[in-house]
Amino acid sequence: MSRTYRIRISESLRRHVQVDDGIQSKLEILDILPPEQTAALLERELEGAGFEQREDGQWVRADEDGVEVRVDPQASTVTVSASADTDLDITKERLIRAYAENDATTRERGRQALEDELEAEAGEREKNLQAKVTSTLEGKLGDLRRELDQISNRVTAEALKQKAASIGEVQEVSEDPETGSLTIRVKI
Amino acid sequence: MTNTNEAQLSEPGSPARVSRSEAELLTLTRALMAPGPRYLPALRHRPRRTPRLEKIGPTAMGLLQQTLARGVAFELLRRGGWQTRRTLVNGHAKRGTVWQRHRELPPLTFGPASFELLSWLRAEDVSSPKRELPQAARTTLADELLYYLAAEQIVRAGGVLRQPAFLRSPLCQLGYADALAGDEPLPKLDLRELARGEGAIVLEALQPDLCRRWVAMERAKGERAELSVMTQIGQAQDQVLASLFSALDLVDPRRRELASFLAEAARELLARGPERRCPDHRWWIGGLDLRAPLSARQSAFAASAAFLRGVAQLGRWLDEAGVVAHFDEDYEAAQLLLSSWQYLRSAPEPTEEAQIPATILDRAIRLANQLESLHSLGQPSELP
Repeated sequence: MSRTYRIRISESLRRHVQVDDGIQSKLEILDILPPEQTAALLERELEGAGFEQREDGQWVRADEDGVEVRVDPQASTVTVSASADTDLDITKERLIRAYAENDATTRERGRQALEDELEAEAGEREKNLQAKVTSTLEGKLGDLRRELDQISNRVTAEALKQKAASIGEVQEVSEDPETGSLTIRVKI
Repeated sequence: MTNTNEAQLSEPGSPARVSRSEAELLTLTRALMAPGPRYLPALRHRPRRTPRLEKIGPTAMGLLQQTLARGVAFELLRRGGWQTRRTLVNGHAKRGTVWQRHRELPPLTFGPASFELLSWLRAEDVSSPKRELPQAARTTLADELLYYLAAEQIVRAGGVLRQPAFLRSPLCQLGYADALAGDEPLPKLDLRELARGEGAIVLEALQPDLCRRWVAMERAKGERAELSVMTQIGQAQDQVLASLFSALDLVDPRRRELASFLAEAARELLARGPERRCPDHRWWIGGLDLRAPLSARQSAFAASAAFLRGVAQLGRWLDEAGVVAHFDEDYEAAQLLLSSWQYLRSAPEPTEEAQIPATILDRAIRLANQLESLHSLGQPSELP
């Protein structure tokens, strides 16, 4: 009669995981003034909205959730990104049965299965972290769209005023914040 | 095509006699060129893999040449050559069917590539071919046409079109960018041979068929679920349109009117029916599974607008055509564009759908902007 042995196998996985997500879009600003003048107007608005200028000429704002908004005033592009990282430390144990005390094959098979489980769990956690980052970004997107639309509208309105002033004497400017319409009366 | 088999010549007046494998090849060839949406069961689920035919006898070769010459020529006319259109012929606008516009139609010379294709189709299950269809060292215009006709049947049979021979076929890239799209980008091809001489005559004749294919490609986008697949299709479309636009501009005289199939597809998609209805941007992305990072979503959304960006390019060409003076060399070509694509800019009477731009061009530009904009990237629950 053969005896069975119960072998306890333990494996652990330590890994640093970093995930990110991001999108890029163009600000909808009409070409009313030369690009450098439009960029200057945009920079003024960005400063008012809490953006800071970096050495590369881009304007950046990061919030407490790690969402970074980066605007290139020259190209009128906006990049929104978020990232997160975590240290995974997962340990798993398993009891396997063998018919010999030094059954290396069974031990190796058990160890391999445990490693596969660890990899699968690490992958699952990474996916969850990715989903969390995406969700954070999505949550910010609605407010950000509105804010960027407002900035674009203000830049466009200011550009229109400057353009009007350059072609004649501005006699009257009326704005309707409800509809966003702007009426400029110019005497040429 | 070469022939070294022993002759199986038939007596004069008696039916031609060919071997079973040759008969299979001939039947398959005829079926490839049969008009109408006919499914070819011979192209898949063959339990028995037949060895590849290396050569055929002179009788079969004669029949094959006859079948190909008549069948391909007939298909070229049936798919659009019969239509009365206006195209540039020797720099002048000419109206009529393809045989009225051109005194001589291109001779169809089939080379080894055609035989290789037919032999491959007979031997392989196109849904899971064991052997790739290699790129031929040299292909003639007739070979290209046969590739194009075969591509339709392979796609219909659920086959794998991403074979080296089809990937490097200019006509297949133009008509089947979606079926050729994959992990690797499409090979960049010089399409100038399709923009001048005999190639241009073929492209003129295939305009309605290419329009039908692009409409089908766009309609299928709404059913796509995988973001990565949409991204690949859009990138393939972007690339093939860029190659085409560049080729049409590089030949002398420029042949921009050969992109008319895009304009016609835009009319069918963006001004449907007498009401000139137009889908909104969700029509292109409604089937996508949005449980993915925003970056992947945005890539897929932007890719889905490839056709719309192509239509916008036609608008820029129209703008350029509008400022060509009557004493300029390309005045006639510019006028041809302006009159042929007039419907892209024509606005009907104002409708209740005031939020939708009136002209097809403005609609294409607006939709492309919407698909590329931050505004299309809502929560998955916000999108259908």
